[in-house]
Amino acid sequence: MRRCAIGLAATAALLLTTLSPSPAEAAPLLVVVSASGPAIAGPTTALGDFDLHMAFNAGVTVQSVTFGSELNLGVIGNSFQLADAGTPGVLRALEISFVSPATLVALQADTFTLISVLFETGALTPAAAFASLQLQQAVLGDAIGNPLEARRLLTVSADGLTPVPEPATALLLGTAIASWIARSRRRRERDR
Amino acid sequence: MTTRRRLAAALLLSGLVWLAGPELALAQATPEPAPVPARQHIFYGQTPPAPVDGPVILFVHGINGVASDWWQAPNDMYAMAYNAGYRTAFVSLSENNTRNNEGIIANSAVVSSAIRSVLGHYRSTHLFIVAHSKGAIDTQAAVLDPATALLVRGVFSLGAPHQGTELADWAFGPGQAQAAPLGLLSPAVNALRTANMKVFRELADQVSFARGVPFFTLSGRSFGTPPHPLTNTTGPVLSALTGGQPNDGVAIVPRTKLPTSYATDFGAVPVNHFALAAGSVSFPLINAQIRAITGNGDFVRIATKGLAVDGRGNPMSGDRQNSFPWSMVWWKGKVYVGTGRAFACMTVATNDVALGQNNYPGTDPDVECTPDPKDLPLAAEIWRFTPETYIWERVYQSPVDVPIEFDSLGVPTRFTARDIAFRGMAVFKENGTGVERLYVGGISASSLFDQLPGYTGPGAKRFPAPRMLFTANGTSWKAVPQKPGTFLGDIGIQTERVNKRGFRSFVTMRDDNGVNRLFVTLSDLRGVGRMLVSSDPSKGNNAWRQASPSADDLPIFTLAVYRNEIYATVGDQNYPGGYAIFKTDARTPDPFAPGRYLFTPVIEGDGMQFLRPRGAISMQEFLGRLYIGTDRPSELIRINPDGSWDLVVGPPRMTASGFKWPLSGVLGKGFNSLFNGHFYSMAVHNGELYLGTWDWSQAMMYSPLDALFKSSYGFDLFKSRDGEHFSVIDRNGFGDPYNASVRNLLSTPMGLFVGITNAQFGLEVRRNVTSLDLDRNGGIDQRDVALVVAATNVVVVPGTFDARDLDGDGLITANDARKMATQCSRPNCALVPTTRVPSVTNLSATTETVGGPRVRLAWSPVVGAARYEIYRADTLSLDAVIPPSTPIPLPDGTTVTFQQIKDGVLTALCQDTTSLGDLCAYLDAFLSGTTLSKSFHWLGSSPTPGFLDVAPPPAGPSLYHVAVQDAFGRISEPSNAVSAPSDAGSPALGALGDRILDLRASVGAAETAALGRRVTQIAEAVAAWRLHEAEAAITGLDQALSAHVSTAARDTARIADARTVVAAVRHIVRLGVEDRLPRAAVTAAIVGTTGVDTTAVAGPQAPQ
Repeated sequence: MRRCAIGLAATAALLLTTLSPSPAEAAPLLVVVSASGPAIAGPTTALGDFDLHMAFNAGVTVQSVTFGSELNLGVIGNSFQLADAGTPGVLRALEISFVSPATLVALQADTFTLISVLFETGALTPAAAFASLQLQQAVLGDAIGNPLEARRLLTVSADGLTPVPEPATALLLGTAIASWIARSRRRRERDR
Repeated sequence: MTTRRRLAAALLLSGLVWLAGPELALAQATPEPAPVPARQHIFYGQTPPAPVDGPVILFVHGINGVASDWWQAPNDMYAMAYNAGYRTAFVSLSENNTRNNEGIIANSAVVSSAIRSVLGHYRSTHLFIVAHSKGAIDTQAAVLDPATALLVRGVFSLGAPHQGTELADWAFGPGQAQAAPLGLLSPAVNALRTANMKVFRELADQVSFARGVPFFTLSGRSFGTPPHPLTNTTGPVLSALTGGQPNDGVAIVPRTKLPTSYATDFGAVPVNHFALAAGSVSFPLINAQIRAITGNGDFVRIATKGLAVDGRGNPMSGDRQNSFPWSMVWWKGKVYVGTGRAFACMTVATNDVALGQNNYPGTDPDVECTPDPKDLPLAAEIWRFTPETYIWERVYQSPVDVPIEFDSLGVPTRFTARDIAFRGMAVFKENGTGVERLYVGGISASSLFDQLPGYTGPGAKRFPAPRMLFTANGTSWKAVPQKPGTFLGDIGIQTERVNKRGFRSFVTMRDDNGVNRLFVTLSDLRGVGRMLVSSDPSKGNNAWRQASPSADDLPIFTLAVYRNEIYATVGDQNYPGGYAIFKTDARTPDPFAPGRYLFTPVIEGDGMQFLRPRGAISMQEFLGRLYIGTDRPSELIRINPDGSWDLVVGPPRMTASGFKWPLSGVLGKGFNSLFNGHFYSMAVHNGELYLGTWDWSQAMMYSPLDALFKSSYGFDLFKSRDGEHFSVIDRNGFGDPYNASVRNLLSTPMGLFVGITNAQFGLEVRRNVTSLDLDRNGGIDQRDVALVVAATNVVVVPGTFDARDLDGDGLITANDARKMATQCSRPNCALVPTTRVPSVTNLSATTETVGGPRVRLAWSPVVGAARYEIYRADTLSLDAVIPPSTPIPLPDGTTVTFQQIKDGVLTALCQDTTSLGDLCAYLDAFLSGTTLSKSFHWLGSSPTPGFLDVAPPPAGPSLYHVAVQDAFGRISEPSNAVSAPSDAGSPALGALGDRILDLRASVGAAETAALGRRVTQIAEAVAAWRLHEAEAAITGLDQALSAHVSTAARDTARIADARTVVAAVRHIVRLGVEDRLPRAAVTAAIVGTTGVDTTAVAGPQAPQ
């Protein structure tokens, strides 16, 4: 499966212009929103909840939403999940983990999928369909529900689109993690 | 997209959608109890789904019984107990599990052993026993042993022939021939012969009273209902033997009762002896009484033993010498607790130094003091708790670096702690940077050690001053600078008569210019002091100054912010007029002391009751008013926005602004308990005002009065939705007699925290998370998480409490939902069955005088109520229950008898309140006329919202409350409590007080006040039933009024009107003197109560 990943600010548009979609490919597109880094910074910084509002072209419809397994550790009933595409052009996906903070911290992976969304673009080309794809709102909480900044945690990848080169992906992710670590260290020093 | 399509899309798309699943049924089939293999005669019921840690009941059968009697059809006792949430166990008194007919001694050993087995099985510290017939006697014999008694919180006796039975006499006498085929000639029945039980009673009653295990007796009075082969035969025999007395086929009703000194009678029901053990007959009232004792378990222990053990039983690094949670704040999602160390030892040692005595280590055997007070482990600690992880951390511990001994060269050789307690805390937003910091006030050890060599005489060193700490992150702490020669550097120098030992009360206020200030009191060890202020507190030195007058003139105790002003409670041992309330706008300078603020009185001279309460202790704004709880004798008042004030709880009395009548209807000081020495702490949480007390009854534990006062031990906790009607949450320190007080109540988004003092075994912290139970079903589960999710993006109205905003940031988000999920009652937020039942909120009482005082209770119906349970906390007259020869322990170790006190042996001594103030107040509690409120007991039930109590206790007004019991045996929180007889009405003295106030314009304020004092004297005398004294006071008042007739002619009509009321009062009192009107009616008519507790009340001296 082809895939691209883009570092994403909480309200930044997905930079699909860097892609080169083929006009012929009007098939369903899989967009994967993933998190990275939360487990790095300490005892309470696993991801405990998210509430994403994703906006896109109103002509695009959502076929399905699949939640990842790192907030519920793969057990149905271990989290509260909500996916709502009732408003045209907006998808809200929310998951609240029921797992204890200690367990989340111990078992959660460093990088994982939050949601996978299958979009039907209909007659639109992918470029047109996702020209306005953006996260309107992204609330993320750590293992105990304290806010995490989405900027450092979210990546979005889209299947069915022409990928950006893989090294760029790695570089972006690496940069994000390095920045996270540096900031954490600075913060710890100040606290002494 | 249509609404329907949107909904369908939303449902389709959700990977796992919240489903409003059916409520888990509680009334599921109850699995049969099973024995633990090792002990074949003890059977355990299934543990109910909710609550997981319900109370434990051990069921004990009667004559010829076996454990399965409790669950085999038609008995539904086990099923009902299971459905109501109890953990159950059933013992067969024959260890081979056959029917038992043994005597008392043999069976009591089995009961005693079973109690321990059951507690071990359920890992519980105590249980209740429900015992049928002779099983209750076997049980009573078992709990005569003090060690066993400690394990049992109550015994329910169903039809036990405690006084023996004529049937047994007959069986072993003239009826032997008929009794043999009935199986009555057994050791068990032999034990029940009246002569045998008389011998048992002589021993058991005296010891049981001392053990303090409450017994509750229920009797049957209809041997043929339903027909039973044995009672059908024995009932008529017993009737014939007793002249037709009602009986259950085994004993007549009076022979199933126990002395009221330790037992409460639940009356008699029209069933036979065996039907009494049926759940449908007796379980609802057993359930009602147990819930009255245990409460509903909403306040969950999260730390105990001085932070040596957490709420889950895990060890922590605290110890029992963390006696007091002396300060608590909520900051950045955590609770911070400052401790006071070795409180009891430190207090005795301090008093020794102050009074030149040598009482250390004191007489309390439960306190652990070092042999030498210099070795006391006094280093105070700061802890914090993270609710989401349940993790406690000790974030600061005082250094032990203050030298208290020196060698010949002056080199220190022995040290004590720099801070012996952290008594005040506040979060302060720094001006300029806007950074929030936590400030903590310490107490120095100066009261113990500043008189030691090295700190006195020529060349003496200066004992280190008390200090303040601050932190920006909760883990790194700095001391506020105190350079000698600056203000804070010199605060240890005693310049006023009231000492400066440490900091106590912390508040912050922002002025009109946006400048934040931190206000603190610098006090002596008792807590009396003066107010300091700073807008840049971390600078220390001269960035602080004293902002109130000398504590010798204005002794300040507690600070609060109300309507943009600082309110201060004022009072001390000799402060005139009792406690007072002053305020300052923290702006206007004192014209006589530049640099200090002008303090103006809000209440002054009206805090005086019979003896002086030294001060007011706690303040809390609620529904726009400032509530103030006082020192002993404890009353609750409130200040209104217009500056007027109301009495809320406490004795009615005349004041400069009229005759005050308690709005709660509760007239007894200390909420009808003489032991409530402080209304100590208050908080508003989730729209309700909570009030916790300091209860000094535990001081009686090792006195001859122990048994009498056992039911009072432990603090009281109350709450109110409207600030006028209060409900009783607990009166016994959550079941721990050493839990003497609620020092801090702290409302947080993550629940209400309760900081409990325990000077003997270490402080305790509890938490109530019912505010998080959004659907009010009795537990936190995924429904509550869903309710937070449903509210995401809701903005909380500033200044209001929204239980869904768990991080308190003013906006409800998914993060709040996650915080909720960390608080679920069960793993993975599994659904919790409904256990919570709506409660009655508007109980009212009226007194009916026809046929003697009777109390009629009324309330609004509650949906789902199967029946209403009515409870009463009886009022006792100490005169009636304390034998005159009882020695009363004095704080100095000597004793006087109760009679000597009543004879006035201490009256002369107590003229000098300066030196003996506390001693006298302490003893005064035992003077004639003082009443005591006992624990709530089940009084009756009603299927409809109404109840008539035809026999209220004659000693004085009792407290009543009502709870709802539903069809599953679930019982609600209690309603508001009412005091009755005479909860309502307009007493004659109220009318008289109003008329006297009307005279103010003509006779002047001073004379009005003098007349008012006479009214108070009348109230006190009538309430204490000193009627001749009342008559004298009435005569004096009448003469004083008549004296004004000639000098104030224009008010002749008003004075005549007042004298008319005086005449009415005199007439009523006369009827009382002549015994033509009962005490209840007289006092109801005059002061509105049957025995206002007007003598002052005080416990041992203690820092607050």
